[in-house]
Amino acid sequence: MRWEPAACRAGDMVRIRLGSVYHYGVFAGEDEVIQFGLPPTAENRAKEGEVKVLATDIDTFACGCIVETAQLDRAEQKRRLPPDETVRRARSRIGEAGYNILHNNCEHFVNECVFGESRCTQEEDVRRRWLSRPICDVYLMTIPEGCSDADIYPEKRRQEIMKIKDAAARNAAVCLWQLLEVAAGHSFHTALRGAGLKRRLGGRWVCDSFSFALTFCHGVAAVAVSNAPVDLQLGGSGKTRRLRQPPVAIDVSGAHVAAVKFFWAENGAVTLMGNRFFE
Amino acid sequence: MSRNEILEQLKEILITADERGAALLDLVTEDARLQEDLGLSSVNLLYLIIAVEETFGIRFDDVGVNAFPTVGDVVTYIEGKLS
Repeated sequence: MRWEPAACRAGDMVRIRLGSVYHYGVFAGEDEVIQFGLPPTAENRAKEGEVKVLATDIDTFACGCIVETAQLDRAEQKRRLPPDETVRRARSRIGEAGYNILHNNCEHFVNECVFGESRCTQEEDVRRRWLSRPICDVYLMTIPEGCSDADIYPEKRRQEIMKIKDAAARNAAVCLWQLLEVAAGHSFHTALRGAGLKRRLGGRWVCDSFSFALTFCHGVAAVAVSNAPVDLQLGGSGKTRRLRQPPVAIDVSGAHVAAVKFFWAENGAVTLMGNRFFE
Repeated sequence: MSRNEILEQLKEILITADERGAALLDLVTEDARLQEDLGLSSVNLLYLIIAVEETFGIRFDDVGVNAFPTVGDVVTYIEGKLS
């Protein structure tokens, strides 16, 4: 579907751009553009009570903006309802309320009238943008004494950890894996059990749902999780940023480093530290 | 989830919703108006609402155009949905 400032015919989808969003309507004639609510200008917002399906003339619909008309491709032409049916449907809904900015807005309305299918591409685009946003989160916690290995998943990893002879290193490894579970849940809304964990040749653990890196230093455990490859060092040198508390330096490297957020985990609670704790 | 925890999660979302990122955090209080004080555009507002749906697992099924003048109003709505 292309949008062009072209002549309109009855049954066409029309839209105007207001700032960064579009307002849609069904064109029935110069005196009749049927739409779900008035165009959301500041003036209309102030005077409009409950948002309802209504008809206005084309000038009120346009409110000084350029009116674009949908140019349907061949597949869309086949899929669309006949123009007179579109106009009939739109007219039959005048006075209908139940507007919802996300789930029942002006674009849902025109798509229902033209294609018989309620959808909103603006909402779909924004939701896609949210779901594909860069994620690179670093979780830190002081390593407590006597971490329990009971909840470590998978069992193979638990057995590996139990073979570590040095008690302090073993305790740190347990703590790290528990912190990874917290990070997976907080940043990716998943448990390790469902994240597709596997052990690569060479010994490194990876998972399908996200990338991660684990390390510890000076009694602090650190886990980085990202939807791009990520690496992490504590007490490193070079481009490190030093936390005031605890006194460790952190190197994070990866494609999404610009979006790094830092969290502090303590007693099961996770607090966003942002980057305000850095000197 | 406490009101403060919801506010902290909202701050996380706002960092990614707006290109000003962490600089926006200093402006985010419960009294801050989303459009006038924080300067969020219509698309940023849509992004905020969608991100809240995804983050908190709730559905904004009764939201009007002017439903959330302030950050506190968003927090109250989420609090109500979660309770």
